[in-house]
Amino acid sequence: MIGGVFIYNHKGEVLISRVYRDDIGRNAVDAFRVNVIHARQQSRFPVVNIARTSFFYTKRSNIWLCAVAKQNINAAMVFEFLTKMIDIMQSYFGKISEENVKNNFVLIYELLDEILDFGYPQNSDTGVLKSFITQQGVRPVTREEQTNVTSAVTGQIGWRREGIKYRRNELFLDVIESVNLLMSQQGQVLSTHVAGRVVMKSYLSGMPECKFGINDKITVENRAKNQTDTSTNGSTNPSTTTTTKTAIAIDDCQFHQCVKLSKFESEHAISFIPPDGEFELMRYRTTKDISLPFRVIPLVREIGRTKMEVKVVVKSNFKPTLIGQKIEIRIPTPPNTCDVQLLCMKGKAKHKASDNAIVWKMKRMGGMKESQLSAEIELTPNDKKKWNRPPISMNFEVPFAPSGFKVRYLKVFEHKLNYSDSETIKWVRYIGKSGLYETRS
Amino acid sequence: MYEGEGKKGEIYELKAELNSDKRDRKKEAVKKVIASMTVGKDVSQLFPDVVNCMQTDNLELKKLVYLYLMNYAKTQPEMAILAVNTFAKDCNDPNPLIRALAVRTMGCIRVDKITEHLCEPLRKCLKDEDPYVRKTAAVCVAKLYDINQQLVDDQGFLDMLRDLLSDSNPMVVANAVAALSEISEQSPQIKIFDLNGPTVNKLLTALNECTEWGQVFILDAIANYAPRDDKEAQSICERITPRLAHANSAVVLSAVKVLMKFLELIDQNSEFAQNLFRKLAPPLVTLLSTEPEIQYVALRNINLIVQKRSDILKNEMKVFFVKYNDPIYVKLEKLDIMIRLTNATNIAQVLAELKEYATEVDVDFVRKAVRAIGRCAIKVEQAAERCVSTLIDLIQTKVNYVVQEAIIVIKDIFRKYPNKYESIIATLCENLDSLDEPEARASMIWIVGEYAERIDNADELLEGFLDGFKDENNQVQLQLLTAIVKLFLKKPTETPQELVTRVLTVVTQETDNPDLRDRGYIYWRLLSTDPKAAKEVILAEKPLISEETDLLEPTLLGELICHIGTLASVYHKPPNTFVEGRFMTKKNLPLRSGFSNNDGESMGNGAVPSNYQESVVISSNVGSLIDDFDILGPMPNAPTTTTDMLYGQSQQRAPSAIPNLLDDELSSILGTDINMGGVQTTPTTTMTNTSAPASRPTTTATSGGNLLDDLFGDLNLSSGAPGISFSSANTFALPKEIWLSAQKGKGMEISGTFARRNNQIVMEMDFINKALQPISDFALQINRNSFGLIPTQPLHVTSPLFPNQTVSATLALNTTGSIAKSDPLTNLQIAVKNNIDVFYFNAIVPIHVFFVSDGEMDKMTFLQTWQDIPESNEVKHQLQNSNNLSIDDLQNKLRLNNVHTITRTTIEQNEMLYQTIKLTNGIFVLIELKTSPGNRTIAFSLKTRVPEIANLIVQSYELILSNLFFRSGLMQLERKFPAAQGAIRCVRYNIDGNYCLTSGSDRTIKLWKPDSNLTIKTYTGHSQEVLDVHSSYDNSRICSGGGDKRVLYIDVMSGKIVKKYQAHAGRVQAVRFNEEGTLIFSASIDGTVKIWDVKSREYDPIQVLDDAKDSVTSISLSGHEILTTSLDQRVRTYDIRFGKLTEDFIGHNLTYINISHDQQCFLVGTLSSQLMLFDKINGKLLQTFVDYTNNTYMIENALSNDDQFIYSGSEDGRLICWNLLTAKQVCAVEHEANNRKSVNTLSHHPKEDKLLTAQEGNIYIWSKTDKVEEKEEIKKPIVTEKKFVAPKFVSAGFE
Repeated sequence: MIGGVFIYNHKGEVLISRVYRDDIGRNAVDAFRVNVIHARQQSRFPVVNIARTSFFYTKRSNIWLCAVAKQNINAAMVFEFLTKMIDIMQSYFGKISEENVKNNFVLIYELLDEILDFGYPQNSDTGVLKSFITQQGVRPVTREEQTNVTSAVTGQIGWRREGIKYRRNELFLDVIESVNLLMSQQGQVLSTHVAGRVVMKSYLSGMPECKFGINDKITVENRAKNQTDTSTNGSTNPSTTTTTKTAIAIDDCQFHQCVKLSKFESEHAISFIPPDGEFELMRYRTTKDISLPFRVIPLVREIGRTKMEVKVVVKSNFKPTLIGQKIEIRIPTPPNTCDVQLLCMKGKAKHKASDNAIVWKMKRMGGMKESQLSAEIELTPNDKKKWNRPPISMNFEVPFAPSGFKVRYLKVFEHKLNYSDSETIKWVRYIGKSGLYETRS
Repeated sequence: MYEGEGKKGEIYELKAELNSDKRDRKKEAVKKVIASMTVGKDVSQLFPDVVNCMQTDNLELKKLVYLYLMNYAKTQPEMAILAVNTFAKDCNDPNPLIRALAVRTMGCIRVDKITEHLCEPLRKCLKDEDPYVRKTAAVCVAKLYDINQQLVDDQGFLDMLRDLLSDSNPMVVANAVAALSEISEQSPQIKIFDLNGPTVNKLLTALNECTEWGQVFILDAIANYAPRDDKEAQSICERITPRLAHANSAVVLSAVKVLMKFLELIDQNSEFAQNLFRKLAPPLVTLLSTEPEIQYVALRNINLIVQKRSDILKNEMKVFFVKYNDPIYVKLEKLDIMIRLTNATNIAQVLAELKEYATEVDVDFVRKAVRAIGRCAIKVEQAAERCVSTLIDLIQTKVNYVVQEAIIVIKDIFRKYPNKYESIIATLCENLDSLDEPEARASMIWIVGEYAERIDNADELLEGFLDGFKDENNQVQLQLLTAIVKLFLKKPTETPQELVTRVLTVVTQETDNPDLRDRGYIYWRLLSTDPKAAKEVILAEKPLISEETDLLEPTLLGELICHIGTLASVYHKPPNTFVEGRFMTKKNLPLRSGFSNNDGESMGNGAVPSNYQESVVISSNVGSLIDDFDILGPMPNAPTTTTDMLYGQSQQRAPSAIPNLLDDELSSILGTDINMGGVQTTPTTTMTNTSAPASRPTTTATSGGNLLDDLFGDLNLSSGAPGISFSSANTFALPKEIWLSAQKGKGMEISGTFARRNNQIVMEMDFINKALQPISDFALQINRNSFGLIPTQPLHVTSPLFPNQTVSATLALNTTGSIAKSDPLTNLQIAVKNNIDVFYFNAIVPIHVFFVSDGEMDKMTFLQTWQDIPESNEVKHQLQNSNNLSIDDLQNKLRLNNVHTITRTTIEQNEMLYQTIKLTNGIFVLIELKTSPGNRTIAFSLKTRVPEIANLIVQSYELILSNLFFRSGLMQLERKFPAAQGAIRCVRYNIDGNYCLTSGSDRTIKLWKPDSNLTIKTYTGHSQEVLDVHSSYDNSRICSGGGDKRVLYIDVMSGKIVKKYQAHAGRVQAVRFNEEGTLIFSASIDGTVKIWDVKSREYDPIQVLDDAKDSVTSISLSGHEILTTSLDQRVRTYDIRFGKLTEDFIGHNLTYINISHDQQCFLVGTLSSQLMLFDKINGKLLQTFVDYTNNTYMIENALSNDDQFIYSGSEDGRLICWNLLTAKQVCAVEHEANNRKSVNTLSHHPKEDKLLTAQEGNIYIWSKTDKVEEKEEIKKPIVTEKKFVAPKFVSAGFE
């Protein structure tokens, strides 16, 4: 298992070094510094083996996080752990920076002691950790509270403590989708997929059990089948035919640990006891029938060696009643650009020399509209190196789910407190965002 | 000093703070201590103070103190004991967090004394009411086991740990699983974690409820479980499948691992399995939208999974398209998987993508993309053409690495689709010069070799590569060797002979790489024994190149599948290759067995998909090596059996019986002419020397060989250098030339020559067996020929002839056979039969062997005949007397060859010779020779009645005369080898002649074993070229002098420089030890000789001889005398005993001095091309030796051990030998044909008649043949009738 965790600053100075196992010596700290951080050639792999010791590392804004192991350990787990650790640290003290790490080193040691025992990752849920690792120093703890903590750390429902009470039972559902697209110059879609997340904020009393329904194809078909079974006995339901049409094919989905996976597997039902507050209920991925909200049509012309002409057309492709927001298009320019003349129909465009890109921003854009930008780029001719045209990328936000994902229902059952489903207030919101939305130029 | 104090002060301050009453200050102090600890400062001195802070109810402070303890307890075990009480107390704390903390920390303190105290609290905590404490205690058992296995065993903790598997809390179960897995991995011999059905069930239940990490532990443990049957496997799979939807990629991958493993046990065709396969794909794809590092791990694993079950992801090509912002490691992996997933349906898309990638910036990525295009071509036949044209486009970009990469893949494409795309070779050849990477070069060479017949200038191209052969990478060298041999086999007529020889020589003699050498030997042997077999072997059909490249070997793949998610799967290496120490049990995929279902059986155990079994899996990367392997196929059969068989044969047949050979067959066949010319002359010499170690089958044969040695003592078995062997002939004989090459003779090589011995024509032959089996049953016949030559007796060759053995045979011939005119006249058609086959070859008989000794006629008859023969039959010619032979020499020489001088006269200062020749068939030839002084040409005119032979006679005259220049007789080249130290400045035998020293312009001195070309040691220390070396009498020390004005005194064994003298003002030209090795004499261009006492500690010379007015060029020591030569034209003799100096003025610039072995004379070399021999006592000039060149360099000379001969190098590249008494040149041999570079240095063997010389960078060893002595004698007979009146008709016409 993990033999040690080191945190370095960009110079390679150790900020945190926590060794869990005897087989990791002090020299491992230096080995990594010498062979990776100070290495003449940047290491090209996130795992390196130096003298039979494997170093797993990742970098966050000048800070190197490195886990060391001498055995054949689960590599996926180590990287998951490192990302988790970053999450935890971020939720404790914000951005990971040298200063923050230095200022919180006692806390980090305390966390490392808790989340890794002898190199085995232990409970790493931020919420639970925050309940007993605090920076406020000593907190008078009653015995009851202590057991609460320990059962939370180890318990079956580690994510929720008992006895939560709210006056108003409320829950918010956000369906956030990011659309990823790779389009060729010719406008051919090379690959596209939607990575969706369902984020839930629950303010519910007691231990509520929730059931969540979506327009997943399989579920819908199952339901339709059941209903047709029942319909033979009783009345027909005309809505079934319409629902099947809008059903979407989810390639794959993942759930928060509160969701009973076995139940999902057997009945395709998503049922869970939600943690208190905000959490990510599920993640899903779809690749079929994605309505792409925007389309970028680039036209790049090189005129001689010192001049380029770029024309970019953006088309919005959704209902005219809806409005897309925070639209930003980045058009990369060669590094030897010296002057750029811009002309755009809508929004503001600027050449950012530091980013080597033209940034074109539009606050909003209605559906089924079209806008255009043209730029004349002047180049200094001396550059020898070939410019490999990076793709044009785009950011936006639209108020619908491009995959067609729909929340069909969310039912809440609380047996002890006995408040009914209809008493809870539910909010659902759809946000379509851009992921890697790129068009090759 | 200050620093230290500062540190002390800091620690002192901390100490004070730690002992402070205020809690906050204490805490701050501990924090500071921890901070110092983190950056590696030693704060262990504070141990007692920190431990004192342990007694606190502040959890945070306690944790910090514990952290400190864990770090330093090991270094301060005594102090750590202090903490034990606190631990024990904390373990009873009412707060579970503190109890757990105590247990957790205790386990991390690896001090034996503490572990003993640990047991009780641990036992208690394992049964604690709080699950948090129990889960911590479970891990603690693993910690304890790591420290003291015995203790854990004794205390029964393992059983307690096992009990925890049934704990109600899932996290406790998970940690117990983790601990048990680790323990069982550490000590696989104790079966503490044998999973069984019920336990697995328990684990599966806990799986649903525990944390993500716990799930990983449990899944990894289950992966090691072997289900009883497919039912159980199926049910486990069912329960695990939901984990694929987990957000944690480690959980997903571990679940995939279990599924992949258990699927092996399930019928592949079952609906269940098919269903499962479908379910595997989406989660794997989802992993690609995680953090790049996790993506990397996932991709590495997907790579494995795709290799195992390619159809899982066959429809997911698009997700592996590379994104612009992907880190390079993700890009490379994606590319790899893309190629694996390529098929005919998606090739268009893939190719478009790859083309896009090939224009990227990152070099590695671009290379891989280019290579991928080639792989696509190999994989998808329909797309091959498109791929090739894409590659050609890329080559046109001229981007160096793209071109190289493209050429490498094109080579593979050629392999896959032979005779389809060769039209592009021209394009490839254009880029020949830009290739600098070994793989690309090797590929290009392979292409050139493989398609040699279509590339007009293939030989030039390959020759170009050959020039820098030694600097090439091994891979390229191998390829070049094969390519040249291929070229030779394909175009034997057009290929320059020396190209093949050169490469084979270089490969077999000058390389240290055994692979290369062995391959060289194999080719050589093949070529020389059986060219047909060579063709079959070297130009064999290439095995099919596989579509799938760099597939992992199936068992390794199986093992790696068992390690999905772990480091092993990331590295694609089994764990034991990167994990230290621990005993690793190798994991393998389970095998499905014992199914009643027949369909399942027919699927072939399901372990390996059928398509893998069928295809010949050869990675294209090793494609270049294929050539090596295929030659192993048709190698000769087992040697022992062959030998036995041959023995049997030879016993059955009577060796004397000559089977009636082919009289008519021969003549008919000979019409078709097998013109051997000089094919394959060169390999012979080296082959005999070098092939001995490479031949295994000779072991049984050697005894026979020795026997032969006894029988024919004079037969030169191993070092026979047929090309130069000199025959002790009555007449001049040409060196043996190869008549039948081993290539054509199926391993038997025959070289031979004709000579006249005791008035009998003999055919002298060397039979060399270059095959791997003995050859026997020799017989020979000669076809009818112009002179009626037939053997007088049957050929007698000792048989069997063992591999690598050489046997000489002499066959006397007479001219009584039937006559048939052959063309050319002197051509002889010979048939030799052995147990293998009958071979036909042609040999040219030099006409002079037909000259008979009784060809003299009296003057009148001569005159008469001359007149009788019509003018039209006269042939005139100008002969070159290149050796400037005197008329006497000419006469003598010709006399030896049965050219009879009838009369000799001088007309107007022109010497005239009239000679006759009688051939065996009675034809007379009359010759008139005219020499004029100062003119090196000899006018030659000839008259005979048979004009056809005229030209032959002219040729033979030319031969006889020119042969004198290289009187190869006396000195015979024994061995030549490169010294690899630049130009050689000096060669010296040591005192007993077993070793030699050479010094070179590369500033080194080398010690050799000259018999075996073995460099024993290389000595360095000079900063410029080394001009002279000498070894002491006991061979323990070397002295040397060089251009750097230094004299070095070196220890032979260690190579250490014992003394370094820096006292000369100019370069040191000569160094010598005295006889005892106690003094070094050094002569320098500064005009002094300095004498150094090596025993003394002084670095000043004990004496300086500064009498010379110019550069001192050499020293020679003889007893009490020191002789020096100088450019002031004087020889100085210092008599040490009398302290007397004698100066001899010679009148020439002197370069080198040698004292004769009898101490009576000294020989000096001069810069006016003469060697002078003086009497040492009275200074009288005894003899002058001329006819060599020495005008510029310091040419060394030597005397033979018996003082009979004098040797010297020459600036025209010859080695000259004079008879001391007569001052006649007895021998002058060129070192290399056409190399007129000066031979400066030589050294005579102290005991034997051997000579060591050097020309440029090569060392030559010469040995003297005794045979020449008789030649000297033969030379003596004086021609009778010196005074002879010239017949009038010559000058004045007729009366």
